[in-house]
Amino acid sequence: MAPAPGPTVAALGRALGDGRTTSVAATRACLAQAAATTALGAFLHLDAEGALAQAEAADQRRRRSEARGPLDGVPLALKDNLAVAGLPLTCGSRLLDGYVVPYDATVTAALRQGGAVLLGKTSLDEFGMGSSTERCAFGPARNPWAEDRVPGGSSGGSAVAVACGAAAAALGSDTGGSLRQPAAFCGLVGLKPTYGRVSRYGLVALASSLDQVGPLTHDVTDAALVLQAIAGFDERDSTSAAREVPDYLAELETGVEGLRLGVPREYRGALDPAVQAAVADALDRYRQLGAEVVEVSLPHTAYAVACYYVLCTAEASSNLARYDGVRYGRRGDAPTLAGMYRATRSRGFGAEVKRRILLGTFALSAGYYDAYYQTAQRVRTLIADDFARALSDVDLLLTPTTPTTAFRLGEKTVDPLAMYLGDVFTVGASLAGLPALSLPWGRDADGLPIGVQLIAGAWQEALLLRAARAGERRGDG
Amino acid sequence: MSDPPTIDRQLVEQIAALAQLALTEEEITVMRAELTQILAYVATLNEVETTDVAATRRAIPLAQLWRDDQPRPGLATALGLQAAPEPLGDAFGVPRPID
Repeated sequence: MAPAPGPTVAALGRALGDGRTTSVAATRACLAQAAATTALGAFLHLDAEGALAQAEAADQRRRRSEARGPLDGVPLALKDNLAVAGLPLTCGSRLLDGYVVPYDATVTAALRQGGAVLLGKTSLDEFGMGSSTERCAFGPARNPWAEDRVPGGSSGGSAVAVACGAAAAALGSDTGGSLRQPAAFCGLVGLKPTYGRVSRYGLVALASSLDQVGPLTHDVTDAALVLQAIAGFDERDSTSAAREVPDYLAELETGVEGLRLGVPREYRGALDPAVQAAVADALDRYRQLGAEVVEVSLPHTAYAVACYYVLCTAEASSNLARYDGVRYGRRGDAPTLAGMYRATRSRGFGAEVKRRILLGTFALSAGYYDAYYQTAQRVRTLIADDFARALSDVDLLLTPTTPTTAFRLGEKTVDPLAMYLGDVFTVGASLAGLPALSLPWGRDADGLPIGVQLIAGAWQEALLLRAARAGERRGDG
Repeated sequence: MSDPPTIDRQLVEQIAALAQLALTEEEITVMRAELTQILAYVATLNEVETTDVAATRRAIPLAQLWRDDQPRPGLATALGLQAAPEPLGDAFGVPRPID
């Protein structure tokens, strides 16, 4: 039942530093594990040759005592909506099948700069639109803990790759929960940084006011290590913040004594009993660790999913207008330009993408713009204000990450709204732009992992990681 | 926000045309039903009093940054064209724009 995870980034870094292993050996182990688990559908593209060349270069650097840092020689995977020069970039869509991207995303360049070995590209719901990775045009990914269950999404492939030891860690992206929900379903740590903390240059846009890149890792220390490598201002992303990046490891082990943890009373409804028990257990543990637990209120929680799906689809419909068959991607044949646009898009996009483009186009169209898009933007203000008010009284919020553990493949694909409602606990922090982390917290009666979510104020990733690390050290894994 | 509009076939086709999508008969039927369901749910936003509330376009305030207006190297033309379905010299070839 439980997948056999590979080493953590930190452990692998120590083994590489001590000479107990080599990057080539670690990379071969990941590639072997990826080959042994192809049925789980983690990868859309594996670059075995390129990865081994990078690993060999890392080993040579280490032999020359020129290792670049904690990620040097560590095999990592990237969600296939992040640009890696020379590798395919499909976004899980037939429209981009065969497209090889000519440039690196800023986060890709940062990982290269740190010496990481880039194994390949992981599966996702098409253009990040989904919560299960069933909406990938090239087939679904499966949960390593139970193959008839989804791994979550949309960064499901990255979660699967890490959970089954085919990568030491992975990058994904999170628009409304796409790092945190797969982390919860696969027993991993998933961190969505503050909006603006990590460059979005080279991340294929879904909803530009919400998207953030972040890590999926075995543990909290690894999340800190990977975030340290990718965080920071980028002049190529006008929405990245010109703020100093703190040392995320410096206070990681300092505990939570004296911190105030807020529990939103509105996040208690419609919860799987096992998830409810995990949250209660987490709160008990944090109390034992010296934190004070208080109830807080986020009164507009009930409107977060509706607000999110109006704004996300509106932004997506605008962002995806660029897929017209002119510059890249699979072109649909038609004798006129307008016909070619329609043929390209109609044949290239899957059902969920079309649904969201239609919803977003509707919300932005004449006669409906004020009623839908503008109203949702105003509700977003109220939701962000709720979080600001709550976090003026407490240091962090603790909530479930998801209402249930991983659901079965096919269980929600016939009902898009049911799939959307599963995002109820993650979209709030996204709308407010806040950093949030899903931390594994036990398993349900079927042995499926459960995640609890910690949310901090803007730019408080160090505090978030520190609190998560304290909870992680509770001893039951 | 007023009550959700009736999502009839004409409205679905109108939105699809704006989005440059050509839907099949089956897709129109399915989308009508799904958009109706989803917009009915979205109409819960009607319950929120938003009259005097400012709209948020970006939750985290970020300073507007400027850089020197100096030319610098960008993506080379050949690289930009390498994935083009119809490269045409240094340009992207497309079908004729006018019927």
